[in-house]
Amino acid sequence: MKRLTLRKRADWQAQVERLGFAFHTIDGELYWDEGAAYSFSLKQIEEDIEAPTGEIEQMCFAFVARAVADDAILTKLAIPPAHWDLIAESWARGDRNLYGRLDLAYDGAGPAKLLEHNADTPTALFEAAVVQWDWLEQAMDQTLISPGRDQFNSLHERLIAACRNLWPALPAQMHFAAMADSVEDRGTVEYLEDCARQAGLVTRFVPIEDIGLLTDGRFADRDGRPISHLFKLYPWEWMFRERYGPNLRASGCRFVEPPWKALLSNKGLLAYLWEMEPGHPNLLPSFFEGDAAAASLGPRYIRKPLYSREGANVSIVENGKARGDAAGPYGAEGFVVQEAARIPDFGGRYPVLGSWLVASEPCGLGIREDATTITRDTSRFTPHVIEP
Amino acid sequence: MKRSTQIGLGAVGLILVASAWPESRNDNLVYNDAAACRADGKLTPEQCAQRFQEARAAHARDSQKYGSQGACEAEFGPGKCAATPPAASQTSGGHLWAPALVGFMVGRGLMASTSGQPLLPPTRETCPPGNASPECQPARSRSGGFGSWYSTTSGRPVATRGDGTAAATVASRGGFGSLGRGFSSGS
Repeated sequence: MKRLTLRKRADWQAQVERLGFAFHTIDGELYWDEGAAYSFSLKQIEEDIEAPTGEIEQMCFAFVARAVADDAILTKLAIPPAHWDLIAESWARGDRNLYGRLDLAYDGAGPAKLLEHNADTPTALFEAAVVQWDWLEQAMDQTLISPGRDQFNSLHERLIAACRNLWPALPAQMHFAAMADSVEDRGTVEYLEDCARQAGLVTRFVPIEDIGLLTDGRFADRDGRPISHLFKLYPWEWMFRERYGPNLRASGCRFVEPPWKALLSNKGLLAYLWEMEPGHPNLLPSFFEGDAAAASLGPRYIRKPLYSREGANVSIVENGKARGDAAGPYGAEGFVVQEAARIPDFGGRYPVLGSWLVASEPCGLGIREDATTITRDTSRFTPHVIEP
Repeated sequence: MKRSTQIGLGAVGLILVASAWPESRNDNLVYNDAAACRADGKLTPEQCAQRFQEARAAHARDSQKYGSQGACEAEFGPGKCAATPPAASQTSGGHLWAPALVGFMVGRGLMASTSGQPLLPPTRETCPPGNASPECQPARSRSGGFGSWYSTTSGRPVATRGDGTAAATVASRGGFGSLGRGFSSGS
């Protein structure tokens, strides 16, 4: 694993905008950064990233199977009891999941370590699936990088195939919802809608704030059309607690990601995985805060809220002092503490690997690097290549 | 090769988005009575009878009762109310007034197992006095085929389409999205 410094395409902004990538620069800061790329051997990709990602997904399935039948686990995860049935039913029915992203710490040598599982509302998808793919094709054409390189990235074709197989038969239409005012979320949803259309689905977007409730208990879009199948780029833990939370089960709506994914997007997963497979080479020691065993972590560890996104409210604790506590709305439901992974230092840049799963199959990699060891929403996306 | 061989964006999408909106098979059916339901042929005669009976029972049980004809008509309009038999528990002996049962709604698809729901005349809120729009006139078709307004016993409006199915109406909006305000939902 190496960090290559590269010349950017002369017209890189125009090239990524051609793809419809609207957020290459966020609040004046570079987000898409093709001035660098991470380079891997095929062996590193297949043995150190792809295989462990599949293995961790299987461990997650074992955890969900256990959790849906265990009130103590659901309580510990701070899942409101009113939604336990919704979750258990979606699991028992075999509701399929579309995608997820494992965040891994990896330096090219030791085993990759699971930092967290973005199982419910992962973003940074379009740049991983399309923008870095297109970059590699052009960069090789323009000999900005030597030809013959590959990329761990079959996300696009897997997403289309997965959309086709979400349900036994294609529904008449599928709605897609996200917060209307988030450019990044909207972009992610537009891309997934595109994949769904290529899979043969009729799609309709509805801002999550505009969803309505019909007199018969179903959800509806802005035009009052019933929503029977909904992709929502909006966290389950929020939907559970909002005004329509009590209407979820009776709505008859089928959701992507399905309700059982709420058990995996919860950071409490990390403590349970460690409990189930203590010493697993791809796991970091993790515990619920206050658990007596957490003392084994030593004076330096990471503290994460059960619910947290984009690094919000995650802090590094050193000798009792917390730092890096990015502002955010999380933490009320409790915390897990996790051994501080060694995030490799590539000349002052700290990469975190996003290992993608589509329909639970590992099939892609997206890397975000930051100037600190907590990956936040200001981290840059950097493409990767596989050496010939 | 570990990467996709080609990526196509948006090519197919435009055509599919423009295609016609298919009628939902989960819409409700609306009938004036069991006979209209049988005549329509979408449900068996037994289903029609059962659902109508359920709606009648729910109407007697759930509809708002008024102490006078005037109080009831103030809400539902002239001629839209009927006297109800005195309940067993009622000692004063006088009639109570309730909005008339003018139809019933049965579910299909997802909602097929729900009981027949009584339909009342539209409330004044839905159809204010003097409103001459066709949907505020009494239903004329045996299957509600002109498109009409009704209300449920809890006062929610129900509108039928021209084909006699009831588009459930939007009762509220904005029940999601409050916690996400100002923060990214993604991770």
